[in-house]
Amino acid sequence: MIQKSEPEIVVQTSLGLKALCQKLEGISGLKVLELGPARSANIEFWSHYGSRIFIADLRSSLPLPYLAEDQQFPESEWDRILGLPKGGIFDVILAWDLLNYLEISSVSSLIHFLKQHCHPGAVLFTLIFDQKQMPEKITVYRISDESHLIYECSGSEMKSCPRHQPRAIESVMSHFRTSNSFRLRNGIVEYLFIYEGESPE
Amino acid sequence: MWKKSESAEESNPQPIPTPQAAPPAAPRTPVPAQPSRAVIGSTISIIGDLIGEEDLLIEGRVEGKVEFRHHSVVVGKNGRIKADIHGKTITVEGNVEGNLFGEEQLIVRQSGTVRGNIVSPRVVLEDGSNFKGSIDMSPKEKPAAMSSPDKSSSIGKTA
Repeated sequence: MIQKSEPEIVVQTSLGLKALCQKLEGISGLKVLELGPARSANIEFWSHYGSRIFIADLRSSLPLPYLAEDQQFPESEWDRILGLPKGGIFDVILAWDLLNYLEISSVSSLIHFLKQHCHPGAVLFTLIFDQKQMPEKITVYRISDESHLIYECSGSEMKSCPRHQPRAIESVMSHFRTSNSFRLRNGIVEYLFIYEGESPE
Repeated sequence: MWKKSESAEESNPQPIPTPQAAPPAAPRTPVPAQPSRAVIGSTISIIGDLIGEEDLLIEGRVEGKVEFRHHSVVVGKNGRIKADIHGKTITVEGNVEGNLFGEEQLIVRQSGTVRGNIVSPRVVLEDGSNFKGSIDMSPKEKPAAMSSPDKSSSIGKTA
């Protein structure tokens, strides 16, 4: 649970992660794009799927103060910010709670950019806050096991939450379909989006 | 005067150092060989390739290639590397721009910064370390459960 008090580390059930792992059952050689910071726990976890993990820590890549409310990132900016390898195509994208810290237009441009780096069938995992306030700083998530996440809240300061509505999120996830969504007790909705590929024109 | 002096000496006898016989030279016993480690000091800059068969500590600057495939390579806190590094174990405490190939293990310490790709069967990224790039580890069996929350995670370990 995210609290206003001291920075804390809390283990939370993650139905989204569980569903993701079920989807990946038996698959190996995954290419995973981690948009959060490098954490050994996550690297270890994905290594068991024979994965190659690319770390593009958005939190540290963005200019400070990161993700100001009026800050918008056009699609061309994401290439510079994320520094993904040319031609890099991923099967899993871990966006964690980052979308909460972006204007919806920037979410749209980010998704548009990421599509170029997705296999059809690629899964994007994200956590959307549905509460009045959210942590000022982006939380770091560590995978505890296939159905638990460890939340590392890096500060007690809170800020107002944009509360992206499901319809708004889904509208910017063009060519992605919602595979699963789980509303957790802590006010977080976990989403799994599947990239369906762009139909030939 | 002399007498006085003598009596004073008698009342406060000073220990007279007695020459000690030098111990007979003991036969030299072979000292177990310490694993040798080369050190590139913090004032040294190298542009070129480093290839060797001993452990290496880099505190200086290196641009080129570092190949110590059978030995440990440590990039110390002052180390600044623009090179691919091959080592048996690689530990980064300083700054590396390049790809890292750890035959056995790779550790990025809290003070370490890596921009590049890591290929190693065992990778430890200490919390607070700075890493951007890809990580390729050998496939292992699927996890049953991971370790409990641990701030200075030393996961990435395998049995």
